[in-house]
Amino acid sequence: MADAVERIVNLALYLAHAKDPVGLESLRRDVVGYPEGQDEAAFLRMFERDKDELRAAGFVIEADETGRYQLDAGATFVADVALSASEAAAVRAAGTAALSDVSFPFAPELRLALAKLASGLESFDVPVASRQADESPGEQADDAATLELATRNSKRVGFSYTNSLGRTAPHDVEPYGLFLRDGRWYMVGRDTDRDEPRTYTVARMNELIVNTARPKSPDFTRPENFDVSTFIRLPFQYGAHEFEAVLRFDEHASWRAAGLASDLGSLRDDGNEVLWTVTARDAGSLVRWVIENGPGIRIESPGDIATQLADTAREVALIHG
Amino acid sequence: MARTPASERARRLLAIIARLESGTEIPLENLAAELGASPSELASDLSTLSLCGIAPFTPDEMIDVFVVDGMVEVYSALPSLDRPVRLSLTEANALAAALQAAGYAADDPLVQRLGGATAREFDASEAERMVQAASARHASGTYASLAAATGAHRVVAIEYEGAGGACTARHIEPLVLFAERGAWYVAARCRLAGAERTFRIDRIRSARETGETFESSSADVVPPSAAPSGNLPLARVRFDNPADFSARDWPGACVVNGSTADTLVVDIPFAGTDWIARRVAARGGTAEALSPPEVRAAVLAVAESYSG
Repeated sequence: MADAVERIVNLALYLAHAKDPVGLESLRRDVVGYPEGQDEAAFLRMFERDKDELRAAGFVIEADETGRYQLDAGATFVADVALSASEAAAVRAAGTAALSDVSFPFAPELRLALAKLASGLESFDVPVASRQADESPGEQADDAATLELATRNSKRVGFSYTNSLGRTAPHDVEPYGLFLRDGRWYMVGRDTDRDEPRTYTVARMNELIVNTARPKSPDFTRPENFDVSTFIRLPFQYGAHEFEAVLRFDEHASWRAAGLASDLGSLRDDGNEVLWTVTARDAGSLVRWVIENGPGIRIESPGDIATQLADTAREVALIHG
Repeated sequence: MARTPASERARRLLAIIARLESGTEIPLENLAAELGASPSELASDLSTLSLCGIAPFTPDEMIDVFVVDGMVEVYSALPSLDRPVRLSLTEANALAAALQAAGYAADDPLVQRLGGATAREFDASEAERMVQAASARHASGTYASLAAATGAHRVVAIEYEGAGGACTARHIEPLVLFAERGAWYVAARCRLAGAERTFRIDRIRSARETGETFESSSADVVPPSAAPSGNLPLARVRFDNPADFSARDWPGACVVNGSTADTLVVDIPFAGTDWIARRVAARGGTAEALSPPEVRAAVLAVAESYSG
């Protein structure tokens, strides 16, 4: 008897070959793999599972009003995607790098994506490597993959979490999104006990479980217009007291302003220089950030923090002079 | 070892089937590596594939694929499925995350263009609102240029701004691109330095190929790291508060005195004084570069540039 792989591939070939919609009787007769003598209900369950597998592989299968099936060829097959040589190299490099990175959570799906695109990329073999997460990267990837699936299916998650003070407590969270920053994956979601969105370090989670009740029904609705990037902050944006800072990039550093701003705040040209207006919450961290990312960056305002930068620098000079 | 589920094996085959046109010859090992399968597992699946076809299952309605001497060979045209299938939603999300990690945002023209290869319901902006797999700050065009040049062994002229702010024009032979904790680097033979150097891509102002190629072998591509290697000089730094020191922030650092001391003394490898001077100075008066003298002088210079 044909195995499941053979049956699924046969079904794909059959649907791709059919010029017109096909009924269940034809499918059952012409696709090798559906057991002879199988009762109707068992056949239908098997066929439904096979359709789900093909849909997961990218096939768009439609049923007409009479219950006959047809592949939507336009939605199933790749349209013309002409990549330039450097674009193809970039896709190959980005993909290969991610696959080499044990902290990348979506490797199995990425591998299939690159296999499908391979004919447009095959002349480029770019040496690459990646280590985006540095703390328990494999564990972070596994948990991030679980959380991404829960996010996509809107399923609640539970985990034990140890905060930065070393306190451990159970959490029940509706996951909204994930982000990777500075070697760590983070999850943003609504903590159901606190009824507010919180950001959690994935590496600090233990015993992560996804609610398995009613797996095809969402547990919650993600807020409309949710954008995980609004939860991503620079080091000086954590703290209690919010203030607005204006940083000046001189003419030599202005080309780096957009990259360093990371889409936060607003940038404005001022002659050959650039002014960056950004929300901050920690003066000390802001001073540290300015020095670390210099030269060519100064604090324009608030004036007292510009003074703090100068005072800090004088102290450093005194120690090292 | 647990057998791979049939659904996964079927998806692998469906992902490559359009490439199996008549006359194709692909090393089994390469195809298996590409798909994350073992060669024996893939050979078995290809054997299954050779049994697949369309009624009435005459030879020209079957998939004529065989593994011969380690090569995947195809002898006749596919009965159908001779065009690549679009990326499913999950595959498209995965590719978008990989591109995002390399600095390609949802609105980048490359990502937009790949829409022709993805499931129609895939929305790159929506994916980006749910998952941000990147903090790369370089221009995507610079990344693409370096990727193409690295793959083809072509020399690139770059303008590079080091941590000290000086911008230098260099010709480099790019050997490998790599990412660490959000930043991308290119390891290259630098003709200006006459040695291998590592450049942060977000500090490369411009990159253009010179038209010249260079010789390279796999031996050139050592496992790269942004962390300083063991051959570099060490700076000795004292932290007034041991809790201020994190090994994650100082790659390769080695604690000299015990953690029970009131202060912590650490030896930190450095490639250039600008980098370490800025990081020490940024800690205000809570860290002091004890040696060597050139690092102390560099910290003093950084501090004086801000002290007005």
